[in-house]
Amino acid sequence: MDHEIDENLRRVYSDVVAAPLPERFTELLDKLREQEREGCENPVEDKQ
Amino acid sequence: MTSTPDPKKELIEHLPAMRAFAVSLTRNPSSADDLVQDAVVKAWANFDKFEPGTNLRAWLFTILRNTYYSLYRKRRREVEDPDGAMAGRLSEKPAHDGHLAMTDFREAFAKLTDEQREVLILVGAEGFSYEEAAETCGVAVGTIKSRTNRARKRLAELMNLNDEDELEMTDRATMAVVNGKPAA
Repeated sequence: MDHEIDENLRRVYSDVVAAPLPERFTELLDKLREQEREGCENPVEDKQ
Repeated sequence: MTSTPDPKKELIEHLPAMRAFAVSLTRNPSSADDLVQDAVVKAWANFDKFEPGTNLRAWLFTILRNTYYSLYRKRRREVEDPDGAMAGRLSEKPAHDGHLAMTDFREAFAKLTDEQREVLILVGAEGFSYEEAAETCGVAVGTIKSRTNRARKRLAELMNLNDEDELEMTDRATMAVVNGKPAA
């Protein structure tokens, strides 16, 4: 039964994992990167 | 140190799993995506606290579940859908994939407590070790083990209850098709 449950769990879970990533997430990452660049106009000297 | 992968670049690879974990916590696809978005913003602001070389997915899952417990669990009670139309759905399913046995499973899973759903996803679906799951949830390893056992037992009970209601859909042949295994 445990084995069957885990199989069902993986199946349900992988359905969602396999779904295409909504654009809002790639847009979000772009926005975060951009904010970071703007915040780096006076960058702290890179060590090394 | 230049060979250490940048967690910010790796983040996108973990987003599908974060969404799946979020759906299993919120049981609602649109709240799940809001939750993932909040968790990503939080993670981004805290990447300096991430230790390179450690498990990035577990780190992200920790942030996601903390966000869920601090914000979403409360919010969900306020907007609980009265018909329970969402309660049985782990995710939106296309109509052609409507195996009733899987629907039963989803409904049973959705009836578990937050802690039970969480531990089953981490240990059963994601394959975290008990130790990783314990760290992600901030509890002892023994707690994770007993939660996992109780959650599996409860899920089995709930599915058996469904079986009795819908006997015609749980004959061996149907189960074999659903499980992708030959009938015993």
